[in-house]
Amino acid sequence: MLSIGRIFARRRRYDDLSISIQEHLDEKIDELMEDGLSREAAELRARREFGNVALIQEHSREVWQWPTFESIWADVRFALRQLRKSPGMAVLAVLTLALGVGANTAMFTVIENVLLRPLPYASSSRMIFIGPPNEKTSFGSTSWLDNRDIRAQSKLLQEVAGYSADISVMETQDSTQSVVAPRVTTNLFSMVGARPLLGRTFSEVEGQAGGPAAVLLSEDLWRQSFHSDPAIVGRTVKVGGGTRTIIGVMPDSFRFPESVGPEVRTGVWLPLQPSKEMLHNRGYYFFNTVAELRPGVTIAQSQQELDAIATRIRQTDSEHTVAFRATSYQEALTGPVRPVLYSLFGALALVLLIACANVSNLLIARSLSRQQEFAVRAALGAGRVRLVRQVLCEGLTLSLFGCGAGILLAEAILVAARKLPEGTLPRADFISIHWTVVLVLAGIAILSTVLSSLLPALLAARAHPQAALQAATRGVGAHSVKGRLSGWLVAGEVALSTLLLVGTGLLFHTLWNLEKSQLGFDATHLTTFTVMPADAAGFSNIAISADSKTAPVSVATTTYQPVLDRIRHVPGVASAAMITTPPLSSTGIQSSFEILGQPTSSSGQGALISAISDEYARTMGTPVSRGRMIDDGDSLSAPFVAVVNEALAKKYIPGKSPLGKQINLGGKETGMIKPYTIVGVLADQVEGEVGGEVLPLILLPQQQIPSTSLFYPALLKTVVSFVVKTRGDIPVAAEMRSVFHQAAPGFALDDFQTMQEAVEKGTFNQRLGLYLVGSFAGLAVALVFVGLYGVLSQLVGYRRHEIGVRIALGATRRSVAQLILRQGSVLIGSGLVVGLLLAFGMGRWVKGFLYQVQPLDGLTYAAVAIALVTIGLIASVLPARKAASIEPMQALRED
Amino acid sequence: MAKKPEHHDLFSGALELMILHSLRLKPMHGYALVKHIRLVSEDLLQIEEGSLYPALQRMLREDLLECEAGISAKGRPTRIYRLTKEGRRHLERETTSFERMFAGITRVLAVAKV
Repeated sequence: MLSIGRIFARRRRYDDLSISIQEHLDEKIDELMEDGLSREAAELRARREFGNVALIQEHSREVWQWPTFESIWADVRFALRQLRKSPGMAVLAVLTLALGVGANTAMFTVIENVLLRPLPYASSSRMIFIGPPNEKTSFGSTSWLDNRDIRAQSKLLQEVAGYSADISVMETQDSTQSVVAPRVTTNLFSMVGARPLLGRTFSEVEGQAGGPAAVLLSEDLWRQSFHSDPAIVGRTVKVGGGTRTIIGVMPDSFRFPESVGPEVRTGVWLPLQPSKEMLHNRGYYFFNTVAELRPGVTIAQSQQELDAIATRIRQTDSEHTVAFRATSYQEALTGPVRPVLYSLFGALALVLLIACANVSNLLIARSLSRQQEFAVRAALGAGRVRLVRQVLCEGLTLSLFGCGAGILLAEAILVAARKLPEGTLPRADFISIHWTVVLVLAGIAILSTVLSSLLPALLAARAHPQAALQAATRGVGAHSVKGRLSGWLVAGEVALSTLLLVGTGLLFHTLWNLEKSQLGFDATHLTTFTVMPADAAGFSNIAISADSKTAPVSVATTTYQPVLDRIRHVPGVASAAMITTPPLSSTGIQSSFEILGQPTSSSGQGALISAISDEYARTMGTPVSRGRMIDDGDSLSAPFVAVVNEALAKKYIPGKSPLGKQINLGGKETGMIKPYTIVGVLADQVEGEVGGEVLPLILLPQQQIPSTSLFYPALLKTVVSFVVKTRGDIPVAAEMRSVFHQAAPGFALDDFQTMQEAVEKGTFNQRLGLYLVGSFAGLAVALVFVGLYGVLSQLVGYRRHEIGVRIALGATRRSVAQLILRQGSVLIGSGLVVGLLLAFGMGRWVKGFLYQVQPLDGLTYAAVAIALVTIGLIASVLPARKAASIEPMQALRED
Repeated sequence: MAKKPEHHDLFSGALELMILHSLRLKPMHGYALVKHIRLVSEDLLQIEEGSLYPALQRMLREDLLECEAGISAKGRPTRIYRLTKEGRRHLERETTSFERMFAGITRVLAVAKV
């Protein structure tokens, strides 16, 4: 019980108590002296018989206190006073902990949100993706017929749905815009448990060939382009040239299929209506399959069933190599970023460890210097429990400050993370701090702080105060034990930062190589943008036009060529060209082909196919290594020609001249009736990614793609790119839009970017990784520097007396400095060796991030060793100089 | 020096009882109380003199005692402890239960002797 009145009355109680005790002692001393004892002897005996005055007074006072809380509060206030007394060490410790806790919280939060939190679907844990095995990408495609067979034959799958990631053009009153337009099977919505914001989702009949033309809008698109019209359902809109009825609006939280990217937020969904081509051709891979497992079924079981289904399909259809692989949908989605995030988290965990080791060292050093204080207090009657509790309190106060600052830091980092370019992290805009994460990390930090402050306190409490008091200034006893502990902690820090430095070095080398790698074109003053016709076919609607006599006039003739001519007359434009798939674009059309008169390899031969206009090589600045480039004269009526890249010539026509060889692209099957004669070889260009493999490429003149062929809608009628070379840094977007507005209204222009930007985007992950790991390593090195300096300074402090004796006995100052430097080298050396060994062992973990760098890159290892040794020696020089400048007379007299 | 604090607590019941008993006779200051207890217990209770004070504070808190300024036998200012009504009642209750306990113990010991 504690009443306010009592708190005020307490001061009086304490006074009463002191007076009582004082009088007690005085009276006893008087009596003893009356018995004939000397004053001194009487005082001694009185005190001995009374007991520990301070302790008894404390116990007596505690009666009036709210015992634990009040004494802890007193401890906290004392701890704050102590920290204020040594602000340098307090700030250092708090900052160190804040960095460790903050950065780790941020990283773990990102991981938790991106990798671990389930997708917002009804049964996301049972959702799987079914694709072909052995594909690099997680979202490999299957065909409609595959999907149909799986749906018909599977017993372990509750539902089988599918989609094709497509794009289209939407015309509203205000504008013509290209939109992401995935086509989904009608059962998808019920499978993922998604409900519309307005209206309804697709009905079964809308998913049949020739069914009603419906469209679902995304919430963002509805708000931006339709002004949140509440009566939107039932209205019509032109999508891809055709009129569709809006049947509903999907909420912002629905982002399926995530693999399409962040643009799905402002996209539309179309019902997938199987085309003739899809219903007949099992090799028509513009389709992805997702499915839901029945409850209790594992992915492995489902995989077995899929293998059996694939075997049955192969028995009836020998033409295609059918095989399936089931992956958890979440894993397929997060697969590519998973190793990056885990590696970064690993790097950060190292930083946290180093930070904790450093704080421990700071605290150990501090409690060592306070050992005398503890001894004095123990001698004056401080209870052991009380001493330990107080030290604990100091550790706690320190770590709470550290964690508080750390959380602020984490919030700041996450704000920055949300500003990363869209698409870098999946679901980045949903990321927020998770308190469990903070608690776990704060727990680690607090535990390490408290443990490290507790250890010296326990030693101090156990030691006999007398011994401690006498030994304190002599540099003997418990010091050496704890000094060694600090030493090992620092060696451990050196080892951990070696790991980080090796990681940084390898990434730096990788980025260096990427910067130096051949792009195959001149990126300066080069701008690209995409163009989509209003009636863009979309990849899902590709078909051969059966009637070859009424072939429509190609869009290349009606639009692209005339527009190019106009663009070339725009002031400031040096040259311009059209290409369906420019370097560094993420999509591309692949096809199998044959070289006439040459046997096709058994595994089949494939190449990227791109249609281009004239002046392509000149605009890109790519050299033509043999023959000629496609030019204006290669029209529909001229002989059909093709240009291949060096990679194709090397791979499929080795040792021979490719010029004059004829390429067959499918004949009747694809509508590419006439073969194409190779007239030139273009130097290799970067394709999907900087530093990636250069695939064989076939370039065809845009005019020579028959408008009846399968390639016409795929290459020219979906989305194409224009590349414009300017004289100097001129923004061209406005000019280009006005050219198209005049010459080809209804075409949607998007994704304006300079090639330089595209290249930077292509190496963004490596650069981000380098900056992050680099800054972690910098942090670690700074911590190691401080730690090493601290430990050695401390060491010099302890051994002051001993060094004084050495110098007095004739040791040179040089040899004393060497003594300290040697101690430092032992710590650095042992840490370095362990760190390098660890790095050897962990090399394969980073292999995936490296480009033309071996995990055991000698250059990196050497650089790291030199850097750490240099830093370590610099950190050791100051303490060594301090040791060498000890004046023996002074050092010896101090005791 | 190295006595454990729990040492005092074990005896606090008995100590309290002896303090109450002594103060029933007349109000006393701390040192007088110690001397009195030592006298009546015939040095049986070998305790640190100081352990009296936490017990006194506890009893003050529980309103069994009150304390006022006074003068010691040697003419020095001190604090005199006096029993309250509540203290008297407490002493009676405790004495009864103590006596009962002692009676019990005595009986057990008597049985053991037979």
